[in-house]
Amino acid sequence: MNAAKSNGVVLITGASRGIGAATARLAAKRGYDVAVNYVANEAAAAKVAGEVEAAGRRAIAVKADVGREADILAMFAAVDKKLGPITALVNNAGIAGKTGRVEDVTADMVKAVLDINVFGALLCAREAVRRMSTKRGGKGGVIVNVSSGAATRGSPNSYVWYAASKAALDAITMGLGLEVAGEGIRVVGMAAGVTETEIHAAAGGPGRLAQMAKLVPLGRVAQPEEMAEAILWLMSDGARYCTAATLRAGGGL
Amino acid sequence: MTKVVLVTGGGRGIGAATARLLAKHGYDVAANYQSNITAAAKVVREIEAMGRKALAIQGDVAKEADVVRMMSGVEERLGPLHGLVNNAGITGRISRLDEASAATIQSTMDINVVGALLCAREAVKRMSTKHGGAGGVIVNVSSVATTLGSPNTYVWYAASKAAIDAMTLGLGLEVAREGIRVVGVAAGLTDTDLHAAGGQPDRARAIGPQVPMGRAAQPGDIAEAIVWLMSDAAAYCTATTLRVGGGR
Repeated sequence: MNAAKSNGVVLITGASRGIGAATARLAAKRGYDVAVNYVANEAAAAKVAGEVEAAGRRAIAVKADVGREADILAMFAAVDKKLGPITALVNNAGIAGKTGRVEDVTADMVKAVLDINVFGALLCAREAVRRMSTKRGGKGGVIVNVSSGAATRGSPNSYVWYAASKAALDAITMGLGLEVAGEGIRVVGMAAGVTETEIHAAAGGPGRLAQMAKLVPLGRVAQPEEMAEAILWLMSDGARYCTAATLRAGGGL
Repeated sequence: MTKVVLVTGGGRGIGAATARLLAKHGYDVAANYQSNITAAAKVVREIEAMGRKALAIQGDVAKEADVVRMMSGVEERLGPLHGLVNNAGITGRISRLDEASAATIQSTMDINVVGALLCAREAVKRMSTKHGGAGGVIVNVSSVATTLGSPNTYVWYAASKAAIDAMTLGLGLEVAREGIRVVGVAAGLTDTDLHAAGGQPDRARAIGPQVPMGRAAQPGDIAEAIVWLMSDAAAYCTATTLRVGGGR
């Protein structure tokens, strides 16, 4: 493995934990060099980067708040410099905000969710297209947007704003996918199901996961590694004819 | 033990590519065919050359007796069924609906919908943990036609595939707690002889450049998605259909 040629360079936003961290680890196993983006938890990001390196691949932990353009530009510049041109972007960073009804939500929370989940994903995608598009001298690549089944269910009484942000992300997958289909770039989505990550504790307390597992047709919540498998397949050559489409990995939800 | 998968319409096109790719990934494969035994036998030889077991098995999926006999035959010869790829499908001759015959519409529904439902029923009887089975996966080969509607081409085919998508959803939910995943692959324009049968042999080449990705799919492009969905890596995917259409 260590001697194997790199499968490319992937930047994963929000990769210090949850689905992002699992994706970073699996990407390393599949031969990618990995840029591990984080916003606050430097120790967790460094640990993930260390695991990537232990798998024989190059890694950097790179701090950036994807809600800020300047941070995004600095992050891409750092990845260019330290790992070389990216071949894949996983738009994974996302927040749900605190669960509740729309009538009680604060403007700040709605803004924060949209800033990270939509604005951040769009600007990261823009930077990725600027580097990967064959029209601009790039070698092509893949953008995977981590979406949610919430985009079609709407998440009433939980976080309608989060569902709205993921529906917007699905529209990006579709529209940008068509925009760059002739430029060597595939844009695909992975609509995650209820996954055992900290996002749920952050949104609605620790009991939320067990409660939600009962609602999943498969009868259990997903592990982050299962979501990572779907993302890595979409990044792979096996998915070469998939673009402008979102794969639902929701256990029936 | 090696996992056994039955691919309906496995002698040609997407079905044959899927049968070969399944074998490459370590499955034993039964390739169903309706009439072209030569093509199915060739697929079987290719799979056997990879060191896997294979079986060409005749059956008209639209006939219940054929489906039941086929399923029993597969289990007798290869072992317990782990997977079913509902791939057999026809479009009928390309035309507007006002020019289509009842026979065209009927045979399309019989093969694409009734056949897929009967094959799925027999697979569930064998794979469901509720029936003492070990679980398994059903992959339904659908089409991007379900959302495009295929005007002036084959509205009835689009309708048949929309029915398949409903089956993926409904049956997927029905057996989610019985160890069975049901998933779909909505194939885009693919370079197979399906189009010759529809009366437009050069359809894939003619329309390929209009696909956002600029080309028609090769059968292997679609097979990759089917085989991934069949795998344990897709363990959390069920009751859903993946679009593999090159942007279409």
